[in-house]
Amino acid sequence: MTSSSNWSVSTDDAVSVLGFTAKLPCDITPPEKDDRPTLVLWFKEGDHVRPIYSYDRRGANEFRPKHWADESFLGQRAEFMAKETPTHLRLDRIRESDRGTYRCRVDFKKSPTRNSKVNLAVIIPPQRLSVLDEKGDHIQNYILGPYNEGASVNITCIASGGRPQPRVIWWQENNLLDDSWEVLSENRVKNVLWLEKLQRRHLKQVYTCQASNNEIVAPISSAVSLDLNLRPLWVKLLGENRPLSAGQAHEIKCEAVGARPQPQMSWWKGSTPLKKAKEEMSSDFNRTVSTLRFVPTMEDSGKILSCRASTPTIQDSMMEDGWKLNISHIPVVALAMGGSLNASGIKEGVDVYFECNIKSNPWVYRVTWRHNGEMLYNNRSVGMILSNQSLVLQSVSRASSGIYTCIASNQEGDGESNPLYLDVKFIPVCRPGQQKVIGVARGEIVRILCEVEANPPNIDFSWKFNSSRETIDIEPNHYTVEKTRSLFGFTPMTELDYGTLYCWGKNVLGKQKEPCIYTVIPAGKPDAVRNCSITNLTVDSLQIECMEGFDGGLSQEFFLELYDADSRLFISNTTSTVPWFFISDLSSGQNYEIIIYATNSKGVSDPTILQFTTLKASMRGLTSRDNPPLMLQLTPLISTLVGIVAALTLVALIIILIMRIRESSDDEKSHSKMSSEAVKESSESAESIEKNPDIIPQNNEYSDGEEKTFESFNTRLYPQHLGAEKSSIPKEELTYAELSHASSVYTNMLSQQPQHCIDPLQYSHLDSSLCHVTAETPLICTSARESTMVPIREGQPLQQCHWTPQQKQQQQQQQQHHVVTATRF
Amino acid sequence: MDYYWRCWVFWHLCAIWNYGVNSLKLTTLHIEKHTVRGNNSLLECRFDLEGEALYSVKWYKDGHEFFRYIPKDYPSTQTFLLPGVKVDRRHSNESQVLLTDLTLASTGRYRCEVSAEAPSFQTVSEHGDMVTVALPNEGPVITGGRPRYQVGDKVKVNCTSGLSKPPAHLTWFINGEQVNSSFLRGPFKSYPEEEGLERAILGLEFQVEPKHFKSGDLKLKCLATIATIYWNSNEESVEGEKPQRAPVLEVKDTGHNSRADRVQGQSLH
Repeated sequence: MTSSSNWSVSTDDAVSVLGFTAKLPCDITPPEKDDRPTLVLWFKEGDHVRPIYSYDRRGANEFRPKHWADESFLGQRAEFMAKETPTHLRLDRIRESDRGTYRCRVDFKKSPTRNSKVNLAVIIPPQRLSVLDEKGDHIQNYILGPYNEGASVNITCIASGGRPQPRVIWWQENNLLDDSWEVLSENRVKNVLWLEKLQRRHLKQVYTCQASNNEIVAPISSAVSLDLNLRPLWVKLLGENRPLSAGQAHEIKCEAVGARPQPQMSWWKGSTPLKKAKEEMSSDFNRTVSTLRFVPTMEDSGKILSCRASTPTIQDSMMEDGWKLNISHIPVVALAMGGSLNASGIKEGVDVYFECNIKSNPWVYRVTWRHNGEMLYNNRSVGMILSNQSLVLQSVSRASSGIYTCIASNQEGDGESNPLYLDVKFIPVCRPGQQKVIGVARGEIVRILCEVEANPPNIDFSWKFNSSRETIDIEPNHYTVEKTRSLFGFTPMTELDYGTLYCWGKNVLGKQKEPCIYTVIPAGKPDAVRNCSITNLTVDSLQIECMEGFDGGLSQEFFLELYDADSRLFISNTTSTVPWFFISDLSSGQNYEIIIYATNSKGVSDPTILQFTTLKASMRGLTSRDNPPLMLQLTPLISTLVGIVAALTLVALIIILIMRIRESSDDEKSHSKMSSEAVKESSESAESIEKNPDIIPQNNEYSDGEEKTFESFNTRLYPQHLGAEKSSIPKEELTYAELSHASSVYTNMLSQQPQHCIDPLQYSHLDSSLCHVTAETPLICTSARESTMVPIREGQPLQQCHWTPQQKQQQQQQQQHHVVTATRF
Repeated sequence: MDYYWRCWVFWHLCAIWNYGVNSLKLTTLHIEKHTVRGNNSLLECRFDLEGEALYSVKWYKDGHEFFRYIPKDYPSTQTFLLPGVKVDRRHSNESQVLLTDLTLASTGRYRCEVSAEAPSFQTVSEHGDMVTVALPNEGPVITGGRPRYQVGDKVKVNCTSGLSKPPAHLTWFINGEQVNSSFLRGPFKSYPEEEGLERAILGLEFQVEPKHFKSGDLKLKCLATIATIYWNSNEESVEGEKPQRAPVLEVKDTGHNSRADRVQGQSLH
């Protein structure tokens, strides 16, 4: 038999959640104070006659109530909480089967029994949430997307299980977004969240789906975070668009902000893509900076350098920023002749105009002009006019020839143009700096080199000889021509053969206006050096500087001999092409004597004697460079000697004069074939020769006498030394054997090779019976200062080959070329 | 020992067996459905303990306990005051309760609840409803009738019962046949008087037809009943027009099980 459900008693409601605890209230307070509950019974309606729980305080149990629970229904899950207020039956780990109506019967000792009912509702929470994307796929890792900016998305949330059916709601943070759920089936409730036109602000927003059917336990929820692909907010080239130097590496940075994921960045020059640049992403992944290493060229000026960034997944998301390039560079300069001028066809006197074409950024602040490396300046007086980019040379001269460049300068540097060679054509002119006076002894061959300057240098030469008696055109077969040089050689045999030679060059532009003039004079020994001064005198060295005297028409050398002034002993000697000497390794505080003389192939000059005393060692401190050069006075002894020599010379000159006058009659006979004009002038010519104190007569008689004079003079001074030197000189080496005696004192010096000799020249073989010249000899030697003709030591046959005024007609008759041609100069 | 061992093994089986076999049963519950005010009534509740010890027998009226029998208590019976419930403890025990001096408040649901002893306190209960009736102080009265009716006349009469609780149930008969409800008006109730006593009123309207006089006079009867404990009626006879006789009002007392309400004859003059 089952108990009836029709108990008309008060009814409470209780709610619990599956697995949680339920409290079933039951008031056991007695209605009267002196009463007490004795027994509490709990029944579950619809079940059996047995109660499910009893709380027994009857009799002996009054202070130790007995709890009893039905094992099969409640087990250990229930306890009657008699001491709590309100008193209730606590039911743990609620099961679904616990749902139902419970009746509590309270028996009191005195009062009527109290029955009350509790309806227990058991809530089953929703079990599971599924969040699905618009394709119905489960969302992995709780990240939804990525979606492109602007896309619309629906997110479906489905709650499974739960009784009563749960409410399914979408939240974003604390904002309720969507509470419109719909029931799919008994077990499934869904809510679809629609997000329209996703924007940047939606990025990483968290959307939470929540399902709940009670207020007791926390709702179950599932959150997804929205991931978006975003187009860049902006692309910007960093820094200012400054001018860039061509050829230099520049780092240009470009930032792309706001793109997601990392944007694709590229660099363009105009429409040309540039090489991949280095990219760096900021720590917040919001900003990407691309660094381009850019080496601009001049041609890049005006082009647009742009940086682009795009989000690959979003179409038309490309943004760009560009700079119009301003490339600064060293001026590029091209030099050209102005107008229709032909650089190779300019004649002297013509106006020339150069144009300097400049390409430059920034524009040049200066244009300079150079001629053979030398800076040019505006000078209207010489017809040089420099304007901005042009150079006008008015009435160019041959000095204007050479390489012209223009140099344009800007902040980037200097740009030099191509060299332009200005070739000014001009009529030959005599080359300056030639030896104009040439000394030669009678019977000696002399070679006169006429050098001219001309452009073009293809020159026809013509020579004239003007003696005191006549003027003769020299036949071309007597001289050689090699471009701008012509060599004429002859052997003066008489006084009439001395005179002036004129040489003209002629090129396509015309004939030389002023001839080159060479005076051939009888050669003599050189003059003594003058104005000697001692500088830098120290304890053991000194320096001597003298001025050279007339060289006698030939190249001269300078000799120095050092003697101990006290013992008169020879110490050392030295030679030089200039009268400058440095003597070292001297003893301190000692008296020395120095003899300096010049020598050429005609003889030796008068000696110049100097005496000096080296500084004492203790005086060393006094010597310094600042000391003025110590001018040595000729000692009284020297003065006396000079006086004697002067007197002797005067005597000798008188003798020579007498001799010359007597000899001139012989000369006249030998030169009888020459023109009568020359004869008239013979007295003048002779006179001029006699005036020259350096002329050394070729007559052996005079030379013997002179030699003896020198010898006696020298021997008296340095008998031992001269004797020793004399024997060591081989006379055969000298062409001028007669001089070898006179110069025997200095032959050791003559025998030495002149410095800076030109390589031996090969004389060409001439197919002539008369001229068999096969000598390899130094023809021309140069000193450091200038080129001079020196005597030929060997090759006597040459004398026959050379023209002499006496031979002239004779050779013409022979119809032969007796010319020595120097193949190389 | 053997029993507990087996039950420990077959836990569920034993539980079912326990309930099914070894359980308290309530065998008889007797509650009078209608009782008359002022009378006594004996409530009976018999049960089979099936070997269990008795803990309590409780009687509730409308959920409120008014009598308990707990053998271990002293005294073993206890009564609680409820309106209309007056227990004669001398004639009340574990299986019956004697209610005396029933009043209208005695009406209600009476429940007997029997509980066995600890620990399981098996409990059974059953209930029955009792209505205590206040009988009408008089029989039904017919009013509004005329002495004579001709065919075609309209008869319009009322029947009013005496004051009672609950009000009596009225029924009309014409010539002994129960009247079709389409001729009835009501029933109506009079305004309740003291103790909630009421009169019932039922009207009857119909047109006289020749068939009504087929067997002589037209007889109109009103019957008042309350459940099975009250039965009382009143009848009027009406002459037809033709015999031209003074109407004779004849009243018969038809109640057979009633307490002799007076038969009323009423002249409509």
